This record gives sequence, structure tokens and C-alpha cells, in this order.
Amino acid sequence: MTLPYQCLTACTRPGADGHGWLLFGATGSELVVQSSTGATSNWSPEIPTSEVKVRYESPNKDPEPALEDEHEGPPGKRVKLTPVVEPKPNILHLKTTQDGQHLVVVTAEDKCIRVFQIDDQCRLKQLSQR
Amino acid sequence: MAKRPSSIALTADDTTILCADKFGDVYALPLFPSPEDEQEVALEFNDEQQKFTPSASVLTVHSGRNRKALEEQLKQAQKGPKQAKETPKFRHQLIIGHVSMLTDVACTTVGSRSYILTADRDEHIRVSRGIPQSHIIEGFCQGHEDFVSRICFSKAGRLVSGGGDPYLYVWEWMSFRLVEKLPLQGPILEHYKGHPYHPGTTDFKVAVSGIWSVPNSAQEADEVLVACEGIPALVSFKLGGSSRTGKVLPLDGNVLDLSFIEVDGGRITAAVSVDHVHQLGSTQEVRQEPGTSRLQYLSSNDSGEWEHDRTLAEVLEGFSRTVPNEEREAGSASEPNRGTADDKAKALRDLLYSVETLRKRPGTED
Repeated sequence: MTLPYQCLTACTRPGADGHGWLLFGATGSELVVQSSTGATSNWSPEIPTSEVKVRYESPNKDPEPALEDEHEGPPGKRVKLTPVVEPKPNILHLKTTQDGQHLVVVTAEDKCIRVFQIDDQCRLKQLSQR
Repeated sequence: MAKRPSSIALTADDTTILCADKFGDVYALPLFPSPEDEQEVALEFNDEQQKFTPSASVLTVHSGRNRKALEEQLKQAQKGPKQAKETPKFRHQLIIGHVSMLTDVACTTVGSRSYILTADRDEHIRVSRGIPQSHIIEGFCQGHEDFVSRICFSKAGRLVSGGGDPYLYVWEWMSFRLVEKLPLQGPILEHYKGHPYHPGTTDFKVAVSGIWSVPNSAQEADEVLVACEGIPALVSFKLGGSSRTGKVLPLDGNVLDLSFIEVDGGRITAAVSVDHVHQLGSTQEVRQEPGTSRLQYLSSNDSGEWEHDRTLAEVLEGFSRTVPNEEREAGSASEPNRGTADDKAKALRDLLYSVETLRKRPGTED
């Protein structure tokens, strides 16, 4: 089931045609980004490897109902497996810098502040995790 | 971080993250940790490892009680240094401390001076100087009778605050003076003729979950939009004008968050995140038919009225679309793993609606 966006933030980023924006939305532990040109990408916190194993060991159990629908989603979207044991930390806050080059993401359960660099294709590169 | 951040802000120069937590502390972190910082912190860490040696010895301590204390001290020292785990291994500086849970932090610059404003669960709004003088408290904006959950600077520099009170507070914050209290609960009750979910009942209280300053450069008005938890509407207030009445803007779901997007030509559109899962006006009841869009768009027309604007709907179709759920995860009794579905539903409620929990209930004084 799709969940609503608990956080939204946007910034202005002059693109190739002079004017552009980026919109960020957090739904559960997933971060979705879209630019005015239609480019999209998403991110969610990494799962520690031990938990991924558990997921593989019981492949029939709990298939994500949203998986099939995700394939029709915007291009560039990648489906990541949800851990069975530990749920991923939910995103609490999003904040962009004034120049729209960086994004600060706060997650709840792991109490982390992550800083991302945003490139022109609206891809996210994690710079730090504290 | 050692504690869960409850709010963050960036300083005006975009170099420092201010992180406020549930335990009343504000930490300053550089946006980009430099390699030197990490070395420095590592050094500090080594210093802390130094063994504790009490300045007193058996020869200098005479009373039995003190001797016992000394024995305890030595025992503690033998156990080794206190667990260093609690201290994060990155540069972070404690700059402000409250005795209550922090709910929001904001910073601003007036002339050459910067200020940090913090709001807490105990009705306080504190005005501190900016870094590096943040230990200096300029004063408090006092007047709230319930928790403060959000603070916001308007375009004209007014401070607007809201929380568990039925009013929105407008401050001349530099002199800590309350300018006016704008009725917030009233207009909502009036609009829905009672509770939006249970029309007719009036025993509900508003809990402000968002205040946003409207960045519209084309108009003179100093305007804010306000969201209350579990209310499927925004309330617009034009500050400083003759009208003190908030205008209720109904939406298709409870408002969760809002962001202003500057579309071509400097026109501002407000993208509003709406809850398509829960019933309008309820933080508990799940809808029978979930909504189809997670976003709604509003823009201000020439006469300053907000109206629905579909300009961005097409480009954001993928972003806002909801996937119809074949198996209803919550609310169906035949579901085999009912327990997990209920847990999921509760986890979602907790994630989306946490402001009202700040209200203190009679008898649970803490």
C-alpha cells in the first residue's frame, strides 16, 4: 500500500532551460525526488547485511505487495527489499540548503543526520552520516 | 546522534546544522565535517581515556564516611573510563539547553546579528543569540498556555507560534511582546460546524502541526498558512492587516506537510501532502476508499485568495499517485496476519500524527 508523504520540501535549482525546481517527499523510510524536468530518483536507508540474509532465507514469506506496481513507476526507480526483522528507520525531517545543492535528512529510529549532495540529474550522493 | 532529533534548522550561511532533540539540547554540527574536525575529535577522545586518579589518598582522608567515598572512587576508576559509547565520534557542540522537550528550532539574522529561537513542550519560546554566543539568552516570549509545537518567521519578520492552544500567537520577538492572539480553533469549528469528523461535537482541541510563511514576492501581504493535526484543511492568516480572521481552505485529506514550489516566472504554488489513508478529520479511522493523490496544489490568485491549481499535477503525477491496494492492509477482519496489519496501522498513525501527544493530560504531571 502506498503511504502518504509525511515530509515535503522543495528548492529552486536553475536548470538547463533557466528555471527549475526539485521536490523531495518522504514516505515512511523512502525518499523520493523529482525535478521540474521530470527526472526522478529515490533513496532509503541501507539495511545491515544480516537482515538481508533473513529476507532471502524466507523468500515465500511476506512478499511486498507493492513490488509489482513499482515496476510501472517512473524510470530510474529501484525497488529495494524491505528487511523482515528490523524495519528501516522512518524519515522525520528534510531540509535543503538555500542553493539547492544539498539535502539534510533526519531519520527517527537510528537517530541519524545524513547530508546528501544533489546532482543535475537529481541523483543523491550521501556525503556524511552522523 | 545520541538522541533522536526533534527538529533541525540550517544557519543563514548554510554552514551549520542546528539539531534540537527531545531532551532539550541543541547541537551545532558543521554541514560538511572536515577531516581536521575528525582528527580533533579523535584527539579529544584519547584525552578522555586518561585514568581518573582521586586527589585524596588514605593519608589525607580521616572520617569514615569520606574514606568510604574514596574507596568507591577507586573502585570506579578501576572499572575503567565511563562508556564512551554515548558520545558521538564527530564534531558536535552543545549550544543551548532547555529543561523540556524541544519541539522546534529556527534561526534568523537581523542586521549583523543572528538569533536562534527554540520552542519547547513547556510553553516556552526562548530567544538566544546566534553562534558563537548562543549561551546568551536574550529573553523569552511568554504567553502560551499549552505546548508550543511550531515557530515560524513571517516574511516581514514577525514570529508566529502555535501548539496546543486554540490561538495562533504573533510576537514582536525582539522585545518579547505578544502582539496578538489569532483565533485558530474557532474558524475550524465554525467551518465544520463542530468537529470535522463528528459534526456537532465541540470537544476537540487543535494541535498545530505546521506553520509556513508564504514567500509570495508579488504581493504585499504578510501571510502564513497553518496546519493542525488531523484537520483536512489549511488556515490562512494575513498578518498586520485589519482582518484577524483565518480563512479555512478545505482539502481532500488531513494535511501532513507543505512546500512552496517556485514555478516559472516566480509564481508560487503550494504543494500540500495530504493523508489519503485516514478519514478526513480523523487520525484513527482508515478510509474505505483511499484517495488517489498524495499531493494537492494551491496557488494564490490576483486578489490574494488561494485556489486549486492543476499546473503541476501532470508533471508530478508519478510522484503523487497512490497505488490502489488490492488487499486492504488495515481494517479487514479476514486478514490472516491481522496483528501485523494493526501494528502497521498504528506505526503509521504514530509517524503521521505525533503532535497531539505533546499535550499533558491531567494527572500525568511530568
